[in-house]
Amino acid sequence: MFARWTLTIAFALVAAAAIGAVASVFNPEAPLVTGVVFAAATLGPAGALGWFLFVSPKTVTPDPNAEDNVENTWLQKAAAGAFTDLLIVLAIALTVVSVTGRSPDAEILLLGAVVLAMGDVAIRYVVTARRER
Amino acid sequence: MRNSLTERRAERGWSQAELAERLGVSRQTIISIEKGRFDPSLPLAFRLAEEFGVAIEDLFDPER
Repeated sequence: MFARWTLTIAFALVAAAAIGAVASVFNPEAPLVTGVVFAAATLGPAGALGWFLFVSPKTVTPDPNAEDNVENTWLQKAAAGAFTDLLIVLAIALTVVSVTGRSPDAEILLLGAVVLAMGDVAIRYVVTARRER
Repeated sequence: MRNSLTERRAERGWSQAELAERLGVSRQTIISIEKGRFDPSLPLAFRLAEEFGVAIEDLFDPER
């Protein structure tokens, strides 16, 4: 287990450093600050990914009956509904951008799409759970 | 889909949590099935029937 945690930490450090390095290449004005900020911001998710890859296979037992639970059905319904919502919102946004010829920064658009999708799933899940409880 | 889960569970004196544990599912799953708001998957329906020692059609009624 010690080896697996060591692997996880090493993976997190290497992955974060790699992301930081790539980010610094694309921002020659302030490469050091960019690299450090991106590496620091990536360290947490990279650690989580490392844990998922190296530690969780030995410490987490998959639930063989997970798909039989009603909660799984609620989540599937929420995800399907959110996908439809996201498709509609993106189509409307694309239409607006095409007609006006003006588009906000891609980062803003993508962040909005991610936040919308996650929030939509969460809200739909809660509503479905309350309705079908 | 109608079912006789509540009655059969009561006959055996099992709580919803106990039945859920026996089947390896959440208590909410049992509650939703009993209320007829959730139709179990075929494997779960078979496990339920096996737990009560009856055939699936004795446990579930498709409400034609």
